Formats: sequence, C-alpha cells, structure tokens
Amino acid sequence: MGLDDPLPIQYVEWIGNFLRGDWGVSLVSGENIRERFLAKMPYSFSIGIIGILMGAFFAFFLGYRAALNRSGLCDRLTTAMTIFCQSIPMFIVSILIINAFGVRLGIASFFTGDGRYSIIAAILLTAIYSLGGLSRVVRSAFREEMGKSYVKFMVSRGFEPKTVLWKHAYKPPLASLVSAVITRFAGVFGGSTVLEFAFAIPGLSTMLVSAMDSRDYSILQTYILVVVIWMFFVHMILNLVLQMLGARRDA
Amino acid sequence: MTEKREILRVENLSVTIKNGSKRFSVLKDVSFVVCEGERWAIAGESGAGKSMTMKAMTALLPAGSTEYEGKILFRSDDGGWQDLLQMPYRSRRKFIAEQIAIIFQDSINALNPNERIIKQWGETVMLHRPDLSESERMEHLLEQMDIFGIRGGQETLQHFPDQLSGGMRQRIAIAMALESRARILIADEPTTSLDAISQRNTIEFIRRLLEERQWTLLFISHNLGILQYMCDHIIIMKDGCIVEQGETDELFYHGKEEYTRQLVAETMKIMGEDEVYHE
Amino acid sequence: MKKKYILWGIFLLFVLFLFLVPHQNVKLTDLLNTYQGCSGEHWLGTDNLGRDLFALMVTGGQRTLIVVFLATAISFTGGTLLGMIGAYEGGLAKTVIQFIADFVTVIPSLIMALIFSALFGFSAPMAGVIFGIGNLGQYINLSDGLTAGIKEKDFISAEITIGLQKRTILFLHVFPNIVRQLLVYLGNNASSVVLQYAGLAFIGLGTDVTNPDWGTLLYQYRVYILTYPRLVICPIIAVCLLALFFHFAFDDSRIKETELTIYD
Repeated sequence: MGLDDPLPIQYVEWIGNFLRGDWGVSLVSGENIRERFLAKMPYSFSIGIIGILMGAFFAFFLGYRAALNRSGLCDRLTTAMTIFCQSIPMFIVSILIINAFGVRLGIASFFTGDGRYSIIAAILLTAIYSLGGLSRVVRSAFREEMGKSYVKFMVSRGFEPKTVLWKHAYKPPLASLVSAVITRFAGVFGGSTVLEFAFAIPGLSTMLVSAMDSRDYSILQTYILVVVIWMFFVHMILNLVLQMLGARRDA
Repeated sequence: MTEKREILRVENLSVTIKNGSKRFSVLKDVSFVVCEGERWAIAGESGAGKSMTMKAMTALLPAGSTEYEGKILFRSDDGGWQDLLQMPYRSRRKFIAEQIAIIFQDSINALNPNERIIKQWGETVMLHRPDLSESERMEHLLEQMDIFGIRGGQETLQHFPDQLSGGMRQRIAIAMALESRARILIADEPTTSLDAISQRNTIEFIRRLLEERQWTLLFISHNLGILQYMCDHIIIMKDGCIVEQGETDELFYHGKEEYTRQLVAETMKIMGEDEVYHE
Repeated sequence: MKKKYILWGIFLLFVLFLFLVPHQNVKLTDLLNTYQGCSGEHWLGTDNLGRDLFALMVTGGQRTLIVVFLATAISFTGGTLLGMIGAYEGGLAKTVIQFIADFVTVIPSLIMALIFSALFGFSAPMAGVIFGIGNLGQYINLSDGLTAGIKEKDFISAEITIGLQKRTILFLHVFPNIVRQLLVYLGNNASSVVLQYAGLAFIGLGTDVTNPDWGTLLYQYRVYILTYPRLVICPIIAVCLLALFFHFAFDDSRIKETELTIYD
C-alpha cells in the first residue's frame, strides 16, 4: 500500500487515485470508501439542497411582500423568524418535533421504518431555518431598489409602482438571493450534521462522527477533499448564475 | 388681450409625513394658481419645500404615510376641474402621468441599470400609445432620438445605461419623460449635478422645447439666476411655506419680504462674477 | 437606548452571578437522590445521576461564555483587521486575504470542531478558537466591503493625498466609521456561536458525561422530556435567553433604514 513512502508522495498518489475514481479502502473497516460515500451522500445533499432551495423560493415572495409593506404582517413575520432561528438551536426544535409527532401523537416514527419521516422533517426544518434569513436578504435588496431614482422615474412616467418593482427591479434582489443561497450551500455538509444526528439519518456527518470515534483517518481525508471539490463547484455555479442575471455584465 | 386659461390651482395645501412615531410637517398652507403657457419658478434654499411641493402635486410622496389637506385642482381636457386629492391613489397617479411630465435632479441615474435602453424606452411608449405596432414604435424611437440629439441610432438603443455617457443618459431620460401627452412640465433642479456647459445646454434645450410645444413649466431650483432667465413667475419658499409670489421682475427688483430681498441680493453678488444667464 | 443599558446591566449581573455564586461539585453524583425537585439544597433539583442541576447549569454557562468570548474576539479583531488591510491595499494582499476568507468559510467549523475534539479531546477554549477562525471569513468580507465604501469618500482620499500614515488612517478614520455595522454583526455572530457550541456539545460529546455543557445536558436529558420536563427546559431556556441577549444587545436602531420610499 506504500505506507512506507514519504507523506507528501503518499498524498499526491492518493489524490491521483481519487481523481481516477479509486478512493481506496478504509484502513479500519476495510470497506470501499467510494461506495460508502456514494451511499451516504444523497441523504446529506437532499436535506441541505432541497431544504435551502425550498426556503429560498418562499423567501423571495416573503421578502418582496415584507419590502412592500413596511412593518406589515410579512415584515414582522420575517423579523420574528430570523430572531427565532438565531435563538433556538435546530436540535432543540428537532427534539420537540420528535417528541410531539413521534411520541405524543404517534403519527410518525422517526427511529424505526425507512426513515422517511426523519428526512421530511429534516428538509422542512432546513427550509424554515433558511427562510428567515434569506427573506431578510431579499427584503433589504428590494428596499434598496425602491429608493433608487430609476424606480421613482418609472413611477412618474405612469408605470404601476408594484409592476415596477416586480417586473423591472427584480434582478438585483434575485442576484442577492442567489449569492446568499450559494453561500448557504457551502454549509450543506456542516449544516445537516445536527439534523442527521437528531433524526438518526445515516448521512455523511453521521458517518464522519463514527469514523472519528474509531480514528478512521482515510474517511476524514476523503471527506475534506469532497468538501473542497463541492465548494469549487458551488463557486462556479454562483459565478455562472450571477453572470446570467447580468450582475457582472461586461462593459 | 384674451383672458388666460387657468390650468392648475393649488389651494391651502398642507402635507404631513409620518415615519414611525415621528411626524414631519413638510408643507404649510401653500396656495398658487398657474395659467396655461406660464412659466413658474419655485425657489428657496434646500429643505424649503420646493421638491416636496412638486412631489405632493405629482403623488410621488410615500403613498401610505402622507396626509394631505387642501386641494390640488387640475383642469381636465373637457374643461372641468378635478381635485387630485379626491381621487384614489392609483387613478391619481395614472391621471398625473398623462398630464404632467417630470424631469428629475439626477436624471443621469434615472435609467434602469438592469435593462437595455430599447426595453425601457419602448415600454414607456407602449404605456402611453398602446396602439402603435412594433415597427411604428421603432420608427417613433428613432425619430425622437433625432429630435433630442441622441446619436448612434439602433446601436445606442441596444446598450445598457452604464455604457452611455452622462449627457446621453440625461437626454434619453428627458425624452422618455416627455413621451406622455402632457401639457405641464415639472423640472426639479434638472441641472444641479451637471457641469457648466451641460447646464447651459440643458437649459437652452428645455427653453427651446417649451417655445415649440407651448407647454406650462414649473421649474424648481435654488439658483435664482437660472430661474430669472427661464421663468416669468416665481414662488419663494422657506420652511414649507410660501414667503412671496409674483412676476419675476417685480419680485426681483421690488420684493416686499426681507427674505426675498436677501435671497436676490445673494444671487446678484454671484451673477456679478459670472454672467452666464444674463440676457 | 435606555433599554440597552438595562440589558447590559442584567448581563453583567448574570456574569458575576455565574462566576461568583458558590455551587456544588458537578461531578458529585448521588444515586439515592435522583430526580429531586427544586429545594433549598438543590435550587433546580437533581438529575438522573443525582447531580445538582443548578451547578451543572452554572458551569455550562461559564463554559459557553468562554467560548463566545474567545470566538468573537478572534474573528472580530482578525477579520476586521484583515478586511481593512485588504480593501485598503488592494492587489496581492487583497487576493491573499480573500483566499483566506474563502478557505475558512468553505470548511464547516462544526465539522472542524468535531474532528479536533476527536483527535485531541474536547475543551471549551479549543472550540472557541475553532469557531473564531471559522467565522473569520464573514468578518473579512464585511469589513472589506465597508472599508472599500469608506475609501471612496472624499475625506479619506484627501488624507491619502496629504500623506497621512496608513496606520493612522485605518485606525483613527476608517475603523470608527465601520465599527457600528461590525458590532451589529458581532451580536448576531455571538448568538450563533452560542447555538453552534450547544450543537457541538449536543452531537460530539454525548459520550462524555463529565462535560456539563448545555448541549450535552440536553442530549442526556432528551429522553426525560415527558417524565421530568424540568431537566430539558432549563438548558433550552438558558441557550435561548443567552442567544437572544446577544442579538438585542448589539442591535443598533440607528443603522436601520428610516428613509421612506414612494411605496410606504
């Protein structure tokens, strides 16, 4: 296995193998690492990505309403949600959900069966926790546009104020939302950790925690590389989308 | 001499704006009457209520947080008087957009940075003249560009605002403002952010337009020199109230109020050094 | 403004209370007196091992405060400084600093903390340092953006022209102008560190009963939510109140936009 080679050479060799699709075997359990990762990844990714996208979708409309009606219902709601997310940890809410739906009402089983309810609950929680912050991002971007000269000028020319905002000023808020969403994608791995743990979902983080318990460094090494590659992709997608929205238009 | 036709009457207009728990009284008991074809100036230091008067008349103040008292009467096409403040916000805005064209202080930044010129301008034309076909609209745009001295034809239209020079953007913004079939033009400090030469060009341009189209003008500025050159009537404002109003020359040389005389004296001092706008 | 003084006053009393009030040894178990209710001897009662819940809560609070203090201190000073330098110098310095910011943002700090506690054992100061470094990126980006905005202002370019020293400009003229926004972010960041730390303790240390962190307590007591809700409610309230405090204590109403637009 070349364990006698100097560490840098081992590492370069390992990355080379990794890129060729050979992720090696765990030095502790002897399992094929790639298979293990591919089996776990869908859980972590679907929780993070679906949850955040769902949150972002509603955040756009909520943020728009909140901007339009200052100190109105939507504005208060988004503020309250932001404070809620900032003061009540996700795992506490998870415990309460499990207690309420799983134990008291008994309509969902979280630790037995196929784990369907666990994943749905985790996705919804991720969505709700993204919704507050993202809608504030959209709101403040819309507020900024609302104060701009071109909006005033369009209204003075006879365009309906709401139409101006909705049809002609949506690009900057959308660009802000996309950047915020993609920054959150960066945290998909870390963010789902608590949820995976609370709902006993067999995702990457659960795997990593148990791998650390057994000092399985080959898993850790692969994990870090996967995170870095993921980030690279996320940044690329971000730039592409921002370009499409014209936020970085060439002169 | 035929009797002049009154077109706009503002009667005892007071405006209060609420922001949170605070209330600002921005206009107090403002009254004036404008006849067709007249050129009115509103002068005063910054914060005197010049722009507020303009915004109150054109429903550009925060719709939900503004309280109006008094009347803003507008003579409609059939000759009857309409009280703008009695109309619901949406129809009021619509009515004003058809009757009053507005040029803003920062018209350089008045174009939507996210859309091509052709889109913004084309939609403005569509708004006021929905009957035009697409090719007629294009023809109209090119024609207007010619009138307003906007060079580049089709190619300019395909640009985004930040790809054009400041002067070009300003002319496009003015051209767009004048797309409606308005009879009143309000210019809110249209030259403030410009250099001396562009200022002069803009002023001359507006003057020429007015002579050609026989419009009524409301010109807002703190620069009495320009106002004297452009307007035949003048309103002097301070702290949201009208200090004095009347014909420009009368007010300039025989002002009754102390404040008016001070303001004029200041202007004369400056104009002595730089007689750009002296006829 | 007055409300804020009251808030800070309560907080100071709370800190003094945490560090000065005598409490029992948290490792002292008493299997004869488990699940005791509140009494003069045990203010908040005892848990499943007969430990004094009040002592556990106080020690957990101390540890949480240490983590929050270390984390915010590191990311605030480091991030602000790096961001200001990057925006001011531009060029290579900016590129390097931007890379650092991206890098620390990419690596999830919760995971880093998990890895380090698995490798070296867990300690509160270590978690504080890791969170501090992990949150550097946001401070760098924020201070970079704010500094870039300030740099465009006339008075700063005037100072550059007359050749004022860089240090003087940055600390005496740029920093005071951006500190208000940074402090608001500091407040939000402090609350999120409270939650992060609770989360870390909840996951990573379920096996180590001797660490009396609020998150750990929650993990241990989560099964008693029906039978002894007191055990679960105490840590939940502690976490939420502390996070809420940081959120409101640094909230700056002067920054909130007050300008009305035609839509209002």
